[in-house]
Amino acid sequence: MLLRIKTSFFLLAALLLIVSAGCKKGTFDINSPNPNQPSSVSPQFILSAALGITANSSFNAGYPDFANRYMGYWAFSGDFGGYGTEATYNITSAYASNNWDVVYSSALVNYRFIATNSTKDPKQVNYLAIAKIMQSFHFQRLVDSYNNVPYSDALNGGVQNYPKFDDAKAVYTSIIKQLDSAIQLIKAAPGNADNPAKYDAMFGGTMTKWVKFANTLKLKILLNLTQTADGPALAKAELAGLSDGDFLVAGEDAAINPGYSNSSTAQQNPLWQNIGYATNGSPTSGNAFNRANSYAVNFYLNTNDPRAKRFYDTTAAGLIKGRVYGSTDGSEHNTNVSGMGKGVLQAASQSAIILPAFESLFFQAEAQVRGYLTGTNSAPDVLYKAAVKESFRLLWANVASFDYGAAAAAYVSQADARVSWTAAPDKIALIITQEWAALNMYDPYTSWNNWRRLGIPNDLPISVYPGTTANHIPIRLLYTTNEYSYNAANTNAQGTISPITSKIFWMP
Amino acid sequence: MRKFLSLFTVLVLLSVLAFSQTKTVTGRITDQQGQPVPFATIKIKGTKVGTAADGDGAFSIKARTGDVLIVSGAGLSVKEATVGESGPVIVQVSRKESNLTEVVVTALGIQRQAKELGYSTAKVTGKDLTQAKPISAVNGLTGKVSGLQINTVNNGLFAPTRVTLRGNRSLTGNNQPLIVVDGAIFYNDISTLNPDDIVDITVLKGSSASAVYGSDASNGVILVTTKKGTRGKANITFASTVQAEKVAYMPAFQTRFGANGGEQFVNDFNDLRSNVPYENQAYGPEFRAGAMAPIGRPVFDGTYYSVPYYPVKNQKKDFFNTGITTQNSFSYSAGDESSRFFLSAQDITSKSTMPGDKGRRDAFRVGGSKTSGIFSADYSLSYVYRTKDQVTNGATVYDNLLNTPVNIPITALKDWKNNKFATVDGYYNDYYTNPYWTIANNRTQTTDQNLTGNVHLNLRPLSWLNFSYRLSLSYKNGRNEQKNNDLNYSTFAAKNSTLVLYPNANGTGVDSVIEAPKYNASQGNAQATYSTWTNNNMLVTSDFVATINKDITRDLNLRITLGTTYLDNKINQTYINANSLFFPVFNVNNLTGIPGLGGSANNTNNSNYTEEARKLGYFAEATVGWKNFAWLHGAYRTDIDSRLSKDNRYIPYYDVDASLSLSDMIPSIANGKIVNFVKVRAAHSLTGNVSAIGFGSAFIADGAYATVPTLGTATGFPFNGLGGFLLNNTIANPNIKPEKVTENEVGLELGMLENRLSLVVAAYQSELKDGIVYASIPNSSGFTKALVNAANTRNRGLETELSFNVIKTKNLNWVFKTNYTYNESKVIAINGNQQSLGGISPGNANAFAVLNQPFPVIETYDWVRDAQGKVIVDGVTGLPKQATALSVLGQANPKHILGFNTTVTWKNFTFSATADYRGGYKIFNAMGQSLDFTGNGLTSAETGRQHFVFPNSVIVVNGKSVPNTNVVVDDANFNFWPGTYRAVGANYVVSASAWKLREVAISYDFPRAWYAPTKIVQHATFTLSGRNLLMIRPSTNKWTDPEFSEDTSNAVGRTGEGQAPPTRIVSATLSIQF
Repeated sequence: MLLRIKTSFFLLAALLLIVSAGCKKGTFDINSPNPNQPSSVSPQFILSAALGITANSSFNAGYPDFANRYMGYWAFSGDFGGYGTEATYNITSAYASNNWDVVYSSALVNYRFIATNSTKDPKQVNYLAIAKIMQSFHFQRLVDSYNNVPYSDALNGGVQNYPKFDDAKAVYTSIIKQLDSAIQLIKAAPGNADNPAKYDAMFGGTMTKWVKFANTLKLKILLNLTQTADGPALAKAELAGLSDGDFLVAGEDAAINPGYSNSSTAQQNPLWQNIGYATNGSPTSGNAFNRANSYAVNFYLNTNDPRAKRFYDTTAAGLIKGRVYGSTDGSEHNTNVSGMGKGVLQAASQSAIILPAFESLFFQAEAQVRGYLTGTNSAPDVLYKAAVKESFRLLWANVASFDYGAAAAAYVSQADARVSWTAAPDKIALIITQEWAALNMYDPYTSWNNWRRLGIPNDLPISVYPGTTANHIPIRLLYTTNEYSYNAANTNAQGTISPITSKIFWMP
Repeated sequence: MRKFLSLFTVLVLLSVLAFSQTKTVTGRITDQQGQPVPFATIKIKGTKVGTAADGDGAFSIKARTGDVLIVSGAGLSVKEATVGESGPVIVQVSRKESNLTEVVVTALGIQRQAKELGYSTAKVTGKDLTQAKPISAVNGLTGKVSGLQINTVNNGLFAPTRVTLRGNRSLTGNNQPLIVVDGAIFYNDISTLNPDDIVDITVLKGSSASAVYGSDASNGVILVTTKKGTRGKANITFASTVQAEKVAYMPAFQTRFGANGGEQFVNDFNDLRSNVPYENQAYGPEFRAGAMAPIGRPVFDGTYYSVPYYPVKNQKKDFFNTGITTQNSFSYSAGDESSRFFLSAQDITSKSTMPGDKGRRDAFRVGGSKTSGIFSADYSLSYVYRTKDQVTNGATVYDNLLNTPVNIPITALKDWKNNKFATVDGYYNDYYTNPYWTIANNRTQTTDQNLTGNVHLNLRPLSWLNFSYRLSLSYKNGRNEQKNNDLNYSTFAAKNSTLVLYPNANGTGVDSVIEAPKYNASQGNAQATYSTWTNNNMLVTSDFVATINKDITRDLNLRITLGTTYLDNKINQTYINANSLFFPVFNVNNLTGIPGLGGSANNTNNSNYTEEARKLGYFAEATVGWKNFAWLHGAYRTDIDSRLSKDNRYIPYYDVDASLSLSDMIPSIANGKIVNFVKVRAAHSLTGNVSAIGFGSAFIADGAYATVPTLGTATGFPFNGLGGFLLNNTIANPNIKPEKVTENEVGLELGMLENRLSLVVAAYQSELKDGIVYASIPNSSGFTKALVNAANTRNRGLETELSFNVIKTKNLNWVFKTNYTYNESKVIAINGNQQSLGGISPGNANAFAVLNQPFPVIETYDWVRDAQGKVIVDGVTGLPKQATALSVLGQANPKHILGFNTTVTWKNFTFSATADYRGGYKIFNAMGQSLDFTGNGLTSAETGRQHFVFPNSVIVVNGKSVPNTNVVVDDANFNFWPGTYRAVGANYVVSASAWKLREVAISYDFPRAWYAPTKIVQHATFTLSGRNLLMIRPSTNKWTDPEFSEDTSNAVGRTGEGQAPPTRIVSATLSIQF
């Protein structure tokens, strides 16, 4: 019996050894690092990806579509139904919510991450500047779409999961300062500062262009304030001393291209992904859903604008034909209504132009007319004509044989008050009308801004969808369902909001 | 660790000191069948000397030759035996049947008498499980155990199930019980077990019973014991089953209107000219007997398909096949004094009701045991091969079918290769492909192999001391291949099919119109795609347990268990995807040359993941018994979990419970005329769970790395050498701790009429604190989710089980059992002020956790209503409006579950049946939305497509609700049902209450006289059985089985087209034992 106990004692000891062998130091420290994903990467990799998100958020499905349709560029297809929510202007918190949700949690947070990390290293000053500029770009668009937005408290998840909202005007003031600061940082960058080079998918590391882009953004922000009491004075002060060359000039589009190609859907240019063609050439659903709007089509055709056939495609019958927004006429099949043209859909590899040079020129023309720019500058009519020419250049960029300059010149020389500088009684109205004509699919957000501050185009059509009661298009988007659900107290503190009557602070 | 060791040393020393007796008589207690009877009390007649048998019925006692041993025990008839000159004493006793007094297997495989237990358990025998020949053992548990809810969430091959005990505790973590097979943790799908291999299943309902399993245990445990052979003559059993499965319930369809999807305005429902022949939606003119209508467009040769403009009877039901499943099984069982052996094989081939879907499961098992002196060992090894060949997305097929106007003879379009009206080009529908084409060309093949091995060594140096060590391994290899063939339209369909023939006004001829060509053809062709996914999952567990079972004095019994358990789980997953193949994808063998598989990285989204987690638990358990009527039990455990940070790893889990058998304490109760057994019990425990970090997966490796912040590759990147990474949208939290579940439970057990009638009542309350959630946070924070310990939920419930052996005579035995479960849950906190948590599962967008509501609740949009709940309609258009905020429309888990089981044995016949009722909950039928989109659902035709006053509506005049009596919905056709009405989810939320007749079986044991002369056959039985024979639902549920769910996650409460229509199954089984 004693033997048994001895045996069992040894056996027990052996078993305990086996078990404790499993508890060696480190046995349970296998959870970090994650073998499947990196825990940190250098800033250029985040910059390239964040710029990709910016491009996406400017062109892909669910972002600018509403503005393209409301601003008279696109109409819904007659082959499908169920457009009621948008077409009756009965928009909800779920509508176009990517403009808030994805912009905050994919674009802005990554720019903020770059900014936070690069502040610690003086060599990364260029990254810091770019991150500041891109945050300003997105925050302007957020304010323009939603008015008060989380800003000072935002993008700090983990520390502050429920950010309060900032006053829209204060955000504007702050992003102007951020742009100034970014410009100063770039100008004062040390010689050994890191350059993002090709990871800067917009300017390829050319920091002087970032300065121009920052100034152009500032101009864009300040122009939105033209109808506010203190806007003009602020614009004059902020723009003092700036001249032509400080802004993006002809040929200098702010265009993002990390290497778009047709090799996979995710690598296609975002506008191409949205309304173009699948990798195998089949039209996307966005292509099928969105058709030419008869309002824009008629404008181009009535002004003898050759751009009509670059913005829009011809129908089976060889016509450029639009559809009235909100039409429920089921006989208007896609075969009878134009889709989007080969000028805006040149290739899956085309760059995503988030701020075309023509926009910079139109802005400068308007600022000149308003007397905001006091430096050595071109005359407004020169800037205006250059802007129209730039629009022509973009649309025929892949048609070398076409003399776009001559076509643009011929176009603006018509004695039509909608086109001609000399014939136009109201230069601002002319600039904004032509800016609207050029911005088609390039930047419908700015068209929307212009209409909301100046009411141009003044004959923008109202949806004919049955049940539409509002007499103008929505003037803002609603805070998103997520924000109302998860940041309820702060969002509800903004009061009851109507897409039809709640104004952005800079609206008259 | 050091403390632990020294404790053991002390115990071992104690055992040496206790060693003082020299001469003993050994023996064993068995029942009539020779099976060991554990824990009987043995006393020497006329003395106070006594002992208790162990779990295997073995005992040893100091006695002299000629002494008379008195053997007694709960549920046993008293028996005497005399000690002989030599050899062991074998005492055969007879059992008195009662679940109150039987011996049950508890946590860690420790056998205890039911009356000792301070917590709730239930045992279901293998025979009861398999009465209706389910393929998965859990189906056989449905309706048989209180507190246990089993949802078969879909039909189809090896139908998935969701199992919960006492409701849901965790919001996003795993709420399904831990499965333990032969003592080893089994994370795999229980449907990979052959039900015929199961001896019995014990359900440990509350966390008290399972606290010793630590952070896996808060959801209760299902203990499965597999066969290891029986003592006696070797026997071989063959059994063969044929099952037929047929669709029993289809959603309610309208039978009045034909196709039109708003292409043409329907001015007059009698005018057949607005029937659109290529349309999927049915908002067209009314059917007319005798009229004919073309469907689709004229095909390439100019001919067209004309069909009666009249509904086809059973059109959609006939699309489904009769599923046939055959089960063939074989088992061999043998054993002698010291060893046992069991071997089995089972082959199941199954053809589903979904055309073309088929599957197979082959299961093999070897098990056995060997005893040699103080050593004993048992082992089991099983291998299961399971394969399924299914249409990739059954929901697409079902959706296509629902989008088929009711006059389309769909089953006539089966031959998509040769029938010119059924080909890709010729199929009538402009927007949907022929479902038969989809079935043939979009296939998913799944194969999984499960290998489970388990070796258990026992050393019993002394009758009251036992050491055991178990090493087990569970390995699973899963492979899934998706093959989608290319979809090619001809130029004719894409460009030239512009002629459309409409029926004329009365359906006697056609009018031709030129239109755009066939829509889906003009959208272009789709290229073939191929993807494959492999998953290797290995779990190694290693347990060491020491048990001491000792009568300290005559009245005081002490049982102590100490042990450790170590788990290592490793998962490796590889996903390879190749889009846009330029050749047909079937019969792909050589993968080189396929983009993404062989060479170029383009067109792919390939990935390889490895996850690993480890866990070590230390535990101790002790039971103190006093005079065989009072027991106090406690358990303690602490875990080291690699998924948690060092500071948060050590969480104590414990249980304290007590049981008092009043009938053993006060003999007058035991001798009562009516009541003869009374037991009261109480338990309190704290357990934990970390599974929420792994999104509820039972596998611990799935929760690895959740606390480590990482960046992910951005969509589309890398672009030609340009890399791009973005922050993850979820904030990782290194400080996460296990969620804690506190459970309190009291119970009463009564035995009446000599235990022929038993009643068990238990009440419990469990509360979860520090619940782990991936809380949604506003996007303005820069992130969408934060992993936090913030949720708090509560469950309260009552379980009752009544079992009555109503008639017990020589020829007739009738047992009737019923159980009732009441459970109410409440979400007390989610995360700070967060009111609701969605996204519990991607499969169910409508399941939410909402503060102060049961969990989960169904949330969706309702109509705008006034204070009285009446729907407000527009004073001019008569149209109601969708509310802007979501509404809570009811809880998604039943409040009441009532189960009935009965078994009647009459001579050679045995009849058994199981039925249940579930009530007090709601279901969202997403399918209703599809049916109203297509216009084929009954609802959309209820007003005859005519203007109508919206029922129970009001108009607001000057801020006051005025009943609406005459303002009609101005367009009650295409513009109303698919749009306005369908958008309001509340229209599809209905009571989920249902009665179900789950199992009925009649078996006949062939009289011995028939086969006795052969001397080979021992036993032969023929069984006819049926499952899901009847379902009774309220008339508002026009759609499907409310037990279905989009997946097996916590997010129950919604069904859609992903769930095939409910079926009925009938089986015939012949079983012969040699």
